[in-house]
Amino acid sequence: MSDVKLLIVEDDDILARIISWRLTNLGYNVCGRATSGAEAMELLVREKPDLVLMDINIKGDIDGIETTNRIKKMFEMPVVYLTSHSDGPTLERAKATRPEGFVLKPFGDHDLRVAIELALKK
Amino acid sequence: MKINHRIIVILCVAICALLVALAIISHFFILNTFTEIEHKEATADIQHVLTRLNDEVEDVAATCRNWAQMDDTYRFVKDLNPEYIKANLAEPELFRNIKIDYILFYNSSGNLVYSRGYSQDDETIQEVPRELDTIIHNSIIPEGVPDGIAGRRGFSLLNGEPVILAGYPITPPNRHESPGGTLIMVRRLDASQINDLVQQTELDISLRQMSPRTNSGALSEAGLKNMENGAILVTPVNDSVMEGTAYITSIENTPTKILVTVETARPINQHIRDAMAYIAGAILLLAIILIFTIRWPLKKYIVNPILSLDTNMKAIGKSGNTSQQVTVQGDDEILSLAISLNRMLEEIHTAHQQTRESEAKFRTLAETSVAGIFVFRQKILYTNPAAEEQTGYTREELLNMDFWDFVHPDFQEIVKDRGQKRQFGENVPARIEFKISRKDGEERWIDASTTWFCYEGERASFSVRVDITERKRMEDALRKNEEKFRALTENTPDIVFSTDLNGIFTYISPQCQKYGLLVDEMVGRSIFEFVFPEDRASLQEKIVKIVEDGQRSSTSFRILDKWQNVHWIEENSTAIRDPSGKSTGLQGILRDITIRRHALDAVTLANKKLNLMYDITRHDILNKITVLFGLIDMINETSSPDEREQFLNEIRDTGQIIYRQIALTRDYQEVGVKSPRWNPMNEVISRAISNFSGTGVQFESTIENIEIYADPLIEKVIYNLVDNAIRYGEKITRISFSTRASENGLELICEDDGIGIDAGAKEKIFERGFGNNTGLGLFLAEEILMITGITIRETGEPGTGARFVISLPKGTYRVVVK
Repeated sequence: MSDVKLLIVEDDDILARIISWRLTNLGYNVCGRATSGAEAMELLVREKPDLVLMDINIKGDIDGIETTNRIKKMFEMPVVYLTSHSDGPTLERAKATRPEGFVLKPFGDHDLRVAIELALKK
Repeated sequence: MKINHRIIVILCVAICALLVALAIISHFFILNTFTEIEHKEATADIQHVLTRLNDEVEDVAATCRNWAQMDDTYRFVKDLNPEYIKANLAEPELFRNIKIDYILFYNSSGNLVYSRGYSQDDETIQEVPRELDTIIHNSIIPEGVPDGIAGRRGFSLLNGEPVILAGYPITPPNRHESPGGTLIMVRRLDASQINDLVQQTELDISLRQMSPRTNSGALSEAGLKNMENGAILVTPVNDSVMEGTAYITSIENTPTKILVTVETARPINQHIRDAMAYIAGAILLLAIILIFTIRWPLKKYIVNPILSLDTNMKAIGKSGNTSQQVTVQGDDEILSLAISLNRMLEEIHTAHQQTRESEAKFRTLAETSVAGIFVFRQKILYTNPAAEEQTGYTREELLNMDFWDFVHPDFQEIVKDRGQKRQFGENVPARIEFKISRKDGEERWIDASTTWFCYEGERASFSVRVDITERKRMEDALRKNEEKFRALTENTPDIVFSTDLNGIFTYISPQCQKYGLLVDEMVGRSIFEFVFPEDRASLQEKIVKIVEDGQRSSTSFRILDKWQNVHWIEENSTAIRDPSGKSTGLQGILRDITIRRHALDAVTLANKKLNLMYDITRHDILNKITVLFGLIDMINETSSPDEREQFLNEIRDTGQIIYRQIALTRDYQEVGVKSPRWNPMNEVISRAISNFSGTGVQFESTIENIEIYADPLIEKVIYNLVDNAIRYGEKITRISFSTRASENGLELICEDDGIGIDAGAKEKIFERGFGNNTGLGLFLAEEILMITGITIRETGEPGTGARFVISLPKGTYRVVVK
């Protein structure tokens, strides 16, 4: 298993379980899963992951894009978006946060691994 | 006439007047007073004479009564014995002593049996006139009374001479027998008797028979009538004699009247007349002396100083030099008059100077005035250069024209009429606008202000005339512009309006009538009265911004028409500013954008639907597909039959979620497809709850005749509320519908007696994806209601039941009167 620690931010329980299963199969260390922006910030401080996999539509007052914006300002941590938005204003907002990568749904193991590795090398 | 002569004439006239007054006073006051006294004296005199005559009658009656009661008189009438005649009737002495002229004896049959007369003139016995018997039978012994009327006495006329008669019955000695006849005694009132009476009374007395000839007009008809009633008539015969007259009526059955006249001397009257003549002569003499006495001092102290003032004033008047003064001397009223004249001369001198200056000013003003000035009666008497320029005529030409000559024919009659009336002193309006025809034929508009004044000693009209042709053209242009503006405002589909700073309409075009609102009922009222309460704040904010910034701006708001229909109105306005730049109000247009707004709402809704579709298809469903792919990979990787069965179940559940999400898109697609309409809530609720008739839940509704303006899918809202209540209320037995008034309109309440909704879930229940079932019912309900601005919230107490409050703003509900 790799030493790379990943934090999943996803409010859908089944989807979060499947992502975690895929990452574990790929050899990554899933250090936690958050369903909202606030919960994500707590886990970031506590677990100090190497990379965050961020869904855009999450619970709470702030969405995944705003959460990423704060992570970038506070921790300078790499973030990869897991999103079904491939165009439009949502994607433009997401790009503005200068993420390390995008993984478009639906995705497989290969998609995840490429995006994570590229992000970690930046 | 000279003052000197005038004074003499005045004094003469005064003396004459004094004499006339004296004559009038003496005649009407003094003489009349003494005439009344004389009248009373004459009345008393004639009363005295009448008394004396009556005494004569009583004297004859007493003598007759004594003789009639004598026994020998009784015997004589029975037997006519000569002894009686010899003893009593033969001697003239007897008749003279008893002053009786005739004695007559009548028997009891009324026949004369003996008579004897006596002439007082020659003192001899004589026969009794036969006429006397006739008088007696007409008075004392009338027919049918042979014994005669006892004691009857009085006057009569015997052959024109007044006589006194008395008759008494001749009584028998024993007094019980009937009278033996009647004794008559007669006394003549001849000249000697009258003379005796005159001597006794010292009055001039006359008795005569009253006849038309006797009266001969000396006595008036009224006087005669008064005398018949016993009055005494007194009249002055002349300045020295006063005559009193009275009647004595004779004793016959057909009486005649005897006029008794007494003439009285009037010495007092004559004395007074003489005295007044002496006084008048004395006054006349004194007056002549007075005239000659006061003439010299009058001339020296009054006439000559006045003549001196007169001479001075004539000299000043002749020279025309009002700065000169009259000579001042003396210390009396003439001195005061001289001072007053000098003061008046000073004032005249000052007034002359002011008049000359005023005339100079007028000339300067008139000659330099840009307004035409005319002075006229019928002919024009004066004009200034501006008048020449105004009319195109030279001054010489104008001065030969009547004042209406250059007036345009359309106005000539009224201008001429007013000018002539003003000249004759009638009150006519001073201002008039009319057209003139210039010499070159050009027509110009004139505003004339005319009054009258005294010009060269006679009444004349003074007219100031301003050329207002340009102003008239501008007014005409302005009127046409106003007509254009009115045509524009009244024919455009938009409403043109203006308000003051408080939003009070000062003008609104008639297009407001299509909303059932009349112009008259809107002007004077605030625009905010017609605006939805929810939209008032934003409109107020926008108006303030327009007024402060002065920029054109627009905003939109909703209004209710007369029939409670909602209209979206777009307001475009600018500030109205006064010349100082201060805002005084707003002006602009109101445009009905209801159709556009509905189209916009439809677009917004369609966009919202598309976003939802996008979210569901791109996000939600992709999420679930990602899950499906993941679960398939997990099945492939596992060898555990239990895990494989679990993953397959999860794949089925995920598929069902994808199905419901697709179903949501189908339901949601129907929202907003049909236009909102008025929905009768009693019918909507009845139809919705009819689907739950077998559930055992009791339904109650107190809603009456309420209609809600909403999407036709509102029935699905009610259905979802009831379905959710039955599905999740657990212990539910009753669902009720009611309404109540709220601050912004009306609230429709649906409440049940189930377990209610947790406090933390009250807002989430309206979110998409919330809930134990599909999570789409309340999300859709809120979306359906939102189309017409209706909101829904849950306010129930957890544990005691759910309570959904549907808030209906004004304009989204109405009460239908059936």
